[in-house]
Amino acid sequence: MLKWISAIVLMMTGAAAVARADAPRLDANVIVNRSQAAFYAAGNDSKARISMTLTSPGGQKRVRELTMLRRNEGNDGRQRYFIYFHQPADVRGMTLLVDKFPDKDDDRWLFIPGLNLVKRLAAKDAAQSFVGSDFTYEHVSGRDLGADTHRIVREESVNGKECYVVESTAKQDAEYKRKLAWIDKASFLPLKEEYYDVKDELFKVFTADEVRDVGGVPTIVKRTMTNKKTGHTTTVVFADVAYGLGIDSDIFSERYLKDPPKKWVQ
Amino acid sequence: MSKIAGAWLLGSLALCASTRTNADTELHGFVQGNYALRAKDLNCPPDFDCALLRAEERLELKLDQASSDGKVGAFGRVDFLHDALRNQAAVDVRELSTNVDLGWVSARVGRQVVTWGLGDLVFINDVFPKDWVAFLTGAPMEYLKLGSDALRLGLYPGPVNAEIVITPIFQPDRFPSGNPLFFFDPMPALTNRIVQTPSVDYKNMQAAARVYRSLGRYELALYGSRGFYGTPAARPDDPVAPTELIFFYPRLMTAGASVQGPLLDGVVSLEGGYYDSVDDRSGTNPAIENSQVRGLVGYQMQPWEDGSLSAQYYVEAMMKYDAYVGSLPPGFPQRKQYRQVASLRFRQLMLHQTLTLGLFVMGSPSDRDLYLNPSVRYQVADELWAEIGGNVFLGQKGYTYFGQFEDNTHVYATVRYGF
Repeated sequence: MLKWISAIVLMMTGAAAVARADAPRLDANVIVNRSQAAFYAAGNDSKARISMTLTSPGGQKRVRELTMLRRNEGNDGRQRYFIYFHQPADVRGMTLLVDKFPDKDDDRWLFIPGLNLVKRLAAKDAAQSFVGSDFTYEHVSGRDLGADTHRIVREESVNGKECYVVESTAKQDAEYKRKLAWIDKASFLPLKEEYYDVKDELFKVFTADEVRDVGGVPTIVKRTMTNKKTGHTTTVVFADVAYGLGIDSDIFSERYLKDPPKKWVQ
Repeated sequence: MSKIAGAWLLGSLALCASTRTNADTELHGFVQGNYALRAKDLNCPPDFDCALLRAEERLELKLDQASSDGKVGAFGRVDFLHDALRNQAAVDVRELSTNVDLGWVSARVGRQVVTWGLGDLVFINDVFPKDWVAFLTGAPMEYLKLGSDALRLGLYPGPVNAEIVITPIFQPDRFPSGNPLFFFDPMPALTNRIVQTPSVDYKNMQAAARVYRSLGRYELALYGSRGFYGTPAARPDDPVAPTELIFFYPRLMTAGASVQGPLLDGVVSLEGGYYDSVDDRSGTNPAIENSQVRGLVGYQMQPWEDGSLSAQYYVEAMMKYDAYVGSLPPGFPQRKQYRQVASLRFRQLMLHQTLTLGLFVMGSPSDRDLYLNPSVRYQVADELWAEIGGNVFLGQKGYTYFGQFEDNTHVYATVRYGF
């Protein structure tokens, strides 16, 4: 019985056993699927206070601070995000609601406090920049598994951690032509990513700078995206991360866009 | 005003008493300079500000208080301003309200901005007060909306939700009344003018409601209101030998609906409403607006990264047009039965969303007039932005909606430091 439990645990966590050369290799789609689950969908819901520092090539820094609530809606990949902006002053009090569907464009609503107006946004392009940073909406909330073809190109270690190196090639026009991701065999978190453009030139590099255990969930609490072509970088720090809080689905509504829930947004 | 301040104070006290040290208090605001320079060389009347339409500095303080559980709160937004044009200082209480959240019911009482409906610079079911003077003198767009001194109830029982706004004392829109704005005046000879606002009376209480729900990815809403036109009607005291012009606010009831949701790669909006001109349902009083049907269709999309494009077509139809034409005094310009307005809005963000280029074009094929608003805004640093732009009014006739404002065409600049 105990053996069975151990085996299941090993399978579920994707721990060291599968990393050995003689162990059966996981399919690339399975790896990416588990990586997305670990990176974007851990727990049924989550809350984090996020600080994004945008640094221009000239060294000028701009800071965006926000609280992000996420709730998974069922198991088909639908998620809802509630984002409250604390900084800068210009956007303070604005809230953004994103209804993310696995196979179609997001629905997005932005609340503008000065006008007390909830505005629905046309959101065709998930690959557009999130609040002017080097991260896109896709980087924040994940990309459809089926939008790329995935293959394992090699295995390599990053900072002493065994990784699968998975190449994802976009099936249609996207932010990148292909992406290489170094996915930790133990946590399934991406520790590094390289993005290549249509000319197959490297243009963006993602690094997981700090991974921490948050209530048993490995979490990237500091990450950086560098645009290699422009020299612009964005560093994102997650503070006060928590999972499985029982965030009510009512929160993701027009009512709370206008009156942000103090319980969740400080 | 004192009543609102009292309510706010009471709310704040209740809040402090109920939560003691647990209340969250946030104080923010901005310092702003806002200037508008007339872009036309005019021979202005004496005592008229010919060059400048706006020259003011503002300090806005925003105080947000809430109990730690978020159930009780207070919010204030107060501007302290120096108006260089009139060389005077003033306090402008933009918002001052307290709120309570009781689960499926919430209430906010005090001065608050209320907005609903889907129009872009046209309003069908949004019957709440607007400041057209701010709009015509180059103020930031948020100043177009005036706060209502109102009780707003939110009802959230489930999939169908509602908002009810009760405004006990009538508050009109702010419309141009003279210096520094030019506008169409049908009776310029009558310089003696009085304004009659609806008296403070239970009968004159205004109420507006919106019931809304989502249906799949579409949002549906129904609206209704009873109150008064925000813009005044005008009649001479004596039709034969007038000595003064009386501005008054006729009764208005509205009913409408809207739907918004995804279509192809963008978002489509539809809104319609019926304006029941209660004081002149027959349409025979030329001073009072005809009853109208108003409708709009809008579509917005993202053509490329950080770009957004929206188009809108709006029409208002007079319901008793023959009666209107028949009763129009000789010499008065005759309106068309259908007023149509089309608009395009384009916005492009650049340089990591620190530079915003905007262009708004709104034109009426029926009135043959046009409004243009090009703008450039740069976020100099996190706390500081600056915008320059223009508000351009053009028209073939001096009495149409935008045409009458041709001489107010201006260039504006705004600089804001937020904290």
